[in-house]
Amino acid sequence: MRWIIKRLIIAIFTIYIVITITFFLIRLMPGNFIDMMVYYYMTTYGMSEIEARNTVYALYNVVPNEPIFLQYIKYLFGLINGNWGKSYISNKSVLEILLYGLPWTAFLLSVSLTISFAIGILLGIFMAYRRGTFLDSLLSTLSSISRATPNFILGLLLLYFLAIYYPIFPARDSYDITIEPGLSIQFISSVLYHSFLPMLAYILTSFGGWALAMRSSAIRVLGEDYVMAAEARGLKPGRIARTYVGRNAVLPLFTSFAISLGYMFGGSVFIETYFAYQGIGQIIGLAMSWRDYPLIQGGFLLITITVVLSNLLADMLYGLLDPRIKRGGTYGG
Amino acid sequence: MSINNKERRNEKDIILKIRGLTIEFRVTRGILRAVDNVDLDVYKGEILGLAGESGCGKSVLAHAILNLVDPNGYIKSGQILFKQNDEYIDILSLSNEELRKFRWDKISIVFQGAMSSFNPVIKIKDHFIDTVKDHESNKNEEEIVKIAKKLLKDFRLDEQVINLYPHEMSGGMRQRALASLSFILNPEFIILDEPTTALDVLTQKFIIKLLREIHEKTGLTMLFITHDLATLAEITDRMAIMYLGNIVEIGTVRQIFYDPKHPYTKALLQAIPSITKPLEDLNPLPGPVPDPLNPPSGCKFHPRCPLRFKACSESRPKLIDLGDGHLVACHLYKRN
Repeated sequence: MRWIIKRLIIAIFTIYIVITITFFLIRLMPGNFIDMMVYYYMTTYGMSEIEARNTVYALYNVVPNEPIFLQYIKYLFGLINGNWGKSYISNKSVLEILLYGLPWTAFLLSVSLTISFAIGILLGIFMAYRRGTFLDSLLSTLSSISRATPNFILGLLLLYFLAIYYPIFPARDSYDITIEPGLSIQFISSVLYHSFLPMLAYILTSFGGWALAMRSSAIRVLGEDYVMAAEARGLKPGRIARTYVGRNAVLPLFTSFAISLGYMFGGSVFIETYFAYQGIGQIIGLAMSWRDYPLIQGGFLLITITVVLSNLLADMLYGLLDPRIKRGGTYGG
Repeated sequence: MSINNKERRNEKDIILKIRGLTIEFRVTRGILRAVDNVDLDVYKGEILGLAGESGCGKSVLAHAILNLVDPNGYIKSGQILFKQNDEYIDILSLSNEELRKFRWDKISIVFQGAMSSFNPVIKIKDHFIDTVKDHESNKNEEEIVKIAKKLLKDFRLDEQVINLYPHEMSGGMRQRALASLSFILNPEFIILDEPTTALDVLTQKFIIKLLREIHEKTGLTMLFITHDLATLAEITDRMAIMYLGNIVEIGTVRQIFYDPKHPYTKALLQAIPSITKPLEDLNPLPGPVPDPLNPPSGCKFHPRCPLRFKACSESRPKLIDLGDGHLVACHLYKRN
């Protein structure tokens, strides 16, 4: 229990630090939303700069020349009260926008991540058992290529060939907007159909990393005495591969899996933007190009929270998977 | 105790025959011959000791009996014949599935690193269950746990140990748990690969005593490997001395300790420290251990041997019988 409280305090502190850094960092980016809007009003409505500026200030409820530190304090108090601020571009609450995108990203990336992890684990252990053979070299090369390919490049290729040149899959949206969202087979199949290409882009570019990590981890475990002891006991090869090699080899990968689970919200900007998929990534990408400070801050805050929470979760689950890690640090073993 | 002067042995009582066994390892500098053309007989119901310096190939030889060789090693030639229903089967020519079923059921092994011989992520109980299930699929977990608890008790461990993870036990407990695991399928033959080396002296004595009791009760055949001659004298009937992959002398404990024939055996015995003699009387072997990748010609011991003569560097001596089952591989002796 004490361990969990300690970890929670550290987690909250981490989140606070990231909020602060984000707040000041994004204000160092060149250009800002207000200037962009002022320019827009000047060119569209032929206003003078002062006129346009006053209009924009009034419209977006901005206090000119407010000291940045005061803005920061205001933002923090807002957060404590659950107010993540209002987006400039859509004039909706940041939380509302993000919560709309959240389930789409969570679905797209948790499924892709799980599938690529599963493929990677199986492939990795297979390569470890066949280390040094031609098949191992071939699969290792393929995995390296997979790992080295950026997902947005492959995403663009898939988009061009499978959605535009041969229009087999849809090129945009997370579901067919003519279908009423709900628990109907039509809607679910439309969601799966629309998510196929982005998922494929993600899986094909991430399974290789898992496979290579699993391969080296499993080769290390294969050299352990308890694997030879298991062979000496005449255990079935399948059981040795699962319980003795697999379970021990996957342990070090598990932490990175949980961390990836947290990072998936941040890492989906390109894929979601290219496939016009209505998730967190697309929202953050849009907010960045419009310098929509409240929305960028909200997006980063969400990423931070998921990373911190998934790390916490990983630590707790690790204790269950590996009996040697006991919570609280009082158990010497 | 019936250690010495055992009744004369009969050819029929040989349970394990090793013939011409050669095992090599691929290492960066070349090919290392860890076991070189070894012949060895183990009689049913005896405890045979196998002794030698670290790196002489005794563990490699012992593991090979179950056809277990590290991935960079291979069995180059030889036969390992095990007696089953009055017939000898060659362990090295069994198919994968036959070999899997043979292992642990007929011959089990207690490894030297009890620390690392257990899977760290499963309980002691699961090691017993996995082993039995893959050999006798009809037994349920309850039955297996019952037998396992009895075995643990035989080794003076608390029954509750079965619910512990390996890291929750001390070294001595783990070694005893590993030993009880080797009995789970009622094997005919147990290989003990330095089972006491990593333990403190008291635990060592305790385990030796337990093994001796079990041997007297069950008449199990055991192959006991160690570099500790004093331990072997306590527990074995016969012993074999190994040097750089060759067996140089085999005899009863009495023959080896009171009438050693091979100069290497003599040197080994002189290197045992004693509290009643001054330290200066200790006679360590002169010269370094030769490079195993490039062993000396003829008798591998000749560069360090005080009694060497011309023939020693020219031809490798064969094991010859000096009578009473005392075998030695040395040019100083002629066949009896």
